Amino acid sequence: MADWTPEGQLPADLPAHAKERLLHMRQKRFFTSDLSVSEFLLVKEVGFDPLGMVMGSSIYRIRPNVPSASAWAIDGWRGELSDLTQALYHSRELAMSRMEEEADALGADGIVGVRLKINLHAWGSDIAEFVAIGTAVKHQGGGNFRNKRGRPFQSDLSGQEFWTLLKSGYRPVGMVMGNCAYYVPPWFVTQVTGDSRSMELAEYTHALYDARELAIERLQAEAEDLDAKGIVDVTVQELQHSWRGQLGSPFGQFQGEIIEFYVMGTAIIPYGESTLPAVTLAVDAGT
Amino acid sequence: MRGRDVSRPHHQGQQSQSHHHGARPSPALSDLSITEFVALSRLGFYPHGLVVGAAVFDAGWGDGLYGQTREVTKVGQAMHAARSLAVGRMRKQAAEHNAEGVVGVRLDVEHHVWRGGHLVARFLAVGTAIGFDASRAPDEIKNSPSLRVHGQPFTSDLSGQDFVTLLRAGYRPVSLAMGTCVYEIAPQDVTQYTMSWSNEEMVVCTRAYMEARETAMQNLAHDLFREVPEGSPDAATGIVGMTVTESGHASWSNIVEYNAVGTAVTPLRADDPRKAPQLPAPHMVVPLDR
Repeated sequence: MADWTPEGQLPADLPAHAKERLLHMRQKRFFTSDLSVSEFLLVKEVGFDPLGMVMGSSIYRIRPNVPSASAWAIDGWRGELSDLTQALYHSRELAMSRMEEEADALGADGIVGVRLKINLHAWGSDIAEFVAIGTAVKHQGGGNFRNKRGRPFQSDLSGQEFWTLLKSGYRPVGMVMGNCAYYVPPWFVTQVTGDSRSMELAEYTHALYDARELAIERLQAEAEDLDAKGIVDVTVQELQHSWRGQLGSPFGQFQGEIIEFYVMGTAIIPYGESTLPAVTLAVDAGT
Repeated sequence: MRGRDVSRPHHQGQQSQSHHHGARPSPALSDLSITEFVALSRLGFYPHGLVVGAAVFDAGWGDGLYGQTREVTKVGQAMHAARSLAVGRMRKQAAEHNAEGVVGVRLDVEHHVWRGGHLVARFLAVGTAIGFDASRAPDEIKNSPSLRVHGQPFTSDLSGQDFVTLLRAGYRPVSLAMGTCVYEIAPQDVTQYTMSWSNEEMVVCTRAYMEARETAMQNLAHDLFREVPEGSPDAATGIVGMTVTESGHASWSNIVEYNAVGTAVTPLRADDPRKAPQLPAPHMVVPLDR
């Protein structure tokens, strides 16, 4: 992550038009946002003004390197493709930190409604673009809402969720994530061929468990780094990307499965008293 | 192309002559849902007709490309001009229907390869023109000022409900703001990365894509301030519901087009009674249906 830049200076590695656009918005006090009308009003209701739509991106060449069966035996290797995990993590982190730089340049306290997308382009199956987009916001009262690193908080909460969270006495400190790219070799799947009984593929199950746990452990570590009290809105995704069958590894076409577990959520800390309105129970009589 | 008035095909002449100035055409078409219609009518807004604007544009690709990684200004400008033309024609139709503005604007774009490799783009803007009927509005807002912008109907992609919520919160839509950027990536800037075996960021490509998106957003703001200059009472203070969409072009894999679209908003005029004194506090509802 880039060092914190004081308000008024723009980070050097933003594209020329990004700088121009951000300066223009700051000078004219003109905001842009991808919030819907309701989200816009709710964000304002809890005391924040939208400053501008911010984004970051990273196009990454990502190619898994599947070890041979002998390497597996020699190293006692457990199945995680560390290079791949790191590449997939790094590309997302780059996109998110560039988005954060834009928010920082606008003097924002945080970013709401962050969406992280993966775009595949026509150039090849091992090229992916990671894009992060959200709306930078600033507190009207000038309170300090940045996280402990002095950076704007990020959160994937919608305007409605952001409103509910603040009303219930919490605030977001950052978007946290963890991932794990895992290789399941073909013999995990085929070891029981020839046996006609129904049975659990124990090795396969174990591999998936392991990968999921590793990803969640990393997610928790990131939240702890931010001194968060908890993580809300956690999603666990099982991604296959597009390597299968078309991969030119140094070992030729590989068999088996490559899976990435990707977990993401918003880390929160307590903030003020809960001022949540009483809940109304509603029955829709029309259905 | 601009010289000829193609915004009103022959059939339509009769429709717009059948009513006199200030009146609502009857029957008025709309693509509003029931909920939208009810939400609008409670503030005295009624549909004045379904309005459409179209533009078919030949972007003449070949000569505009550079074989380098850079913005293709000529094509981008053509694409933007075509969109503006479609939306402008739709707005003109709305003006003929005596509308205050247009809600729910959808912009459909189709790319075709015609005429020996030329890229032809077809743009279609569709929305519902709405007008304010003081005689059917609640008493306290009968004397509301017009929402027109420089005498022209406003345009927006807001739903009927969103439009009403926005007014009650003290804002009004100004126009559908749009910005375009077309960018070319040189093949060698892709292959320099795909030759290696390591996992790495394709820095040149990233920079190009980021630049392209930023330019589209920047163009949106420039265009908006050109249309309604800063300092005028109708100048926009912000954009809501902005999206930046990417469209590749089937036969041109090294070209990417970004379009930023959103509704520009500004605070209601000072004498506008439509702003609710205070927005009611939101309720939290737990549905018991399931």
